[in-house]
Amino acid sequence: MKKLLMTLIVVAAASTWPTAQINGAEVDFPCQLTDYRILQPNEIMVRCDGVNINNFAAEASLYRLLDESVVYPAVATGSGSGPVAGYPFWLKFLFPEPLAHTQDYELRFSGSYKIKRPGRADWVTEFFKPTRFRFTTRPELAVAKTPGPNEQYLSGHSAVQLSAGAKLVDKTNGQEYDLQLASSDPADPDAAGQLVLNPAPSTLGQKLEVRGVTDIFNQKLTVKPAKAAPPPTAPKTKEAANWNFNVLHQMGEGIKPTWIVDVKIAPVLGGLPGRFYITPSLIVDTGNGKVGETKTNDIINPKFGVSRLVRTNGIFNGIKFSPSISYETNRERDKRNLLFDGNTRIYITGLENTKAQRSQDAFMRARLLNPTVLPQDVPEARFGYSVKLFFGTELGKALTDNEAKSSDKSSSVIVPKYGIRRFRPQFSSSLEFWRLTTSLSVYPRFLFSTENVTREMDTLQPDGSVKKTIFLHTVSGWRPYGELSVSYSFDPAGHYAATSVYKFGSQPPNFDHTNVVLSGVVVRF
Amino acid sequence: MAIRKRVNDVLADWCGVAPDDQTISLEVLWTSTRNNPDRPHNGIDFQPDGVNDLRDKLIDEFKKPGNERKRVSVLKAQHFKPTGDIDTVNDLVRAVVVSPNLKSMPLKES
Repeated sequence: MKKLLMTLIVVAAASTWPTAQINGAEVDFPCQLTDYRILQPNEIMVRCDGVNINNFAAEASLYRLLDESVVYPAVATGSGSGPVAGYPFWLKFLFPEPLAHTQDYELRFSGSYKIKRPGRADWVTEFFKPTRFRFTTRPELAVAKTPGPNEQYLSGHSAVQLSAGAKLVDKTNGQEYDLQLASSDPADPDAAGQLVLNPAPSTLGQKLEVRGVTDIFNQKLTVKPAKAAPPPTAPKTKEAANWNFNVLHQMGEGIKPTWIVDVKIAPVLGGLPGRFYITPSLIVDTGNGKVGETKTNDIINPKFGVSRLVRTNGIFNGIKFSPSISYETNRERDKRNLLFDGNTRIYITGLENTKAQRSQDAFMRARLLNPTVLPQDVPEARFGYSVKLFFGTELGKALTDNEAKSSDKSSSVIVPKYGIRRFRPQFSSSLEFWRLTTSLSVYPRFLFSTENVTREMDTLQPDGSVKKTIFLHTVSGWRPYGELSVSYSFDPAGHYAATSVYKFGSQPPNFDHTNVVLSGVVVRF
Repeated sequence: MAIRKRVNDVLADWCGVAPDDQTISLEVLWTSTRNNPDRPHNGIDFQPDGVNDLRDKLIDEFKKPGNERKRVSVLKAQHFKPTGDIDTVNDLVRAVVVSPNLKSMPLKES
């Protein structure tokens, strides 16, 4: 009997649903209704996501909910309008009587709005089918995490009033936090019901109490603690990580104890005045002997740099200055180079149109026509290109005279210290076609001062053996270097690829001439 | 003026467009507007340069004199995708809303 009565109530509720004043076909309401705020006891604001509509006008009815499936008959009728001037994307529903506190509701509405459709410059009026949205007036706040800094704040759907000395008390540790409204504008729906904690904690306990806070219905608020979130995933590569520590050690019978330390510290620090950003880094890749088949490198490279992007309009889109000072040494400290690297990148319009960007453009165009389309529904672009231009200088000196040994350690030579004054333009380009990528990087480096380097040659010894002899040499003028690579991706995402690289020219610090082709498999994640 | 309106005004200055879809990813917005005639940024990567440029503009906007001032400098480049969780315009609005308040500063009379 009770079940039958409930069914009748639901049928009665449905029959009272208002119908829109239809002029032509009705469409589905285009907004995703994702959030709401109760700014006044008789007013609810609902955020329209996904599209931007104007001149929204609706008849609205309010239904009380017993639970998810049982809806009581309509308790109020009102009107919808919006977006409210100055508060874009928020639709307002107004009712003659205040809502009841601690109650779940369903809002049903239908009417019209104006929207800009693709291919039309003007706003068109559309009528939409009856739409539902559920909300609650329960006096609750939830612990939420601030996007970015990962600190805690309190979030609710109802506007709140704070009395003097309003606090959040964490009863698990007795800590108290002052509460502040997120905005001084009581009409801002995005900020209503959002409370900032001072000091902002990174975690809160499970037993929380708010004091001196009431909602718009004058109810005392309770706090729902946050559910434990899984820890963030670690970066997949050393290059992607800001902090990377790798210590390897091996010892055993008949083996000399060995160790390798591979450390990268490259925090992204805050900005400086003048929109400069600090970019320090420390790379330590050194050790003693080898662990397994892992041979040690030997470089210790602290670097301090700043960067500054200047954006411009027109053909030149911007220029980025990245000056840095670098000290190159090793564990034995027999290399001591101090360098100033004045790297500058120039951005020119039209020089980049990669496959990924063109695929995304196609997706955005398709989404304008059909908001439900997914990236995988749109064919991937077949062609793309990118050109990058840099100018740089390498200024500094070798701080000490260094002893260099031949590769077979049979001879050595002292390399006197020297000055370093190099001009280093760089041109990098890539051409993508389907899964084939061709890249070319050219560094037409010019050495303004003569630099000391070493060369090696085979020397026939009196006993008939051949030994390596190292001798001093100098380099100056143009010393270009380039790499031409062709790669073929096995998978659409480009994680696995076969690649061949042709390297030609000479590179610092020793400027040995290179003319080789390397082939292999690349795995990238 | 509402925080969302101010954030969208900053986005228009950043990439040339205040998006109609507030669920759009900032990175997608940055890429899709790279050849915008008013604010071209072809070749400038979203991370870190595009994000730092956006951050600078937000800091300038929300430290202006008035009642509604925010310490947006707490947002760093690594708080944005792919390393952080600020992805969409809605995420950015929420991040600004819950940024620490700055003391109100009276508007200067012109």
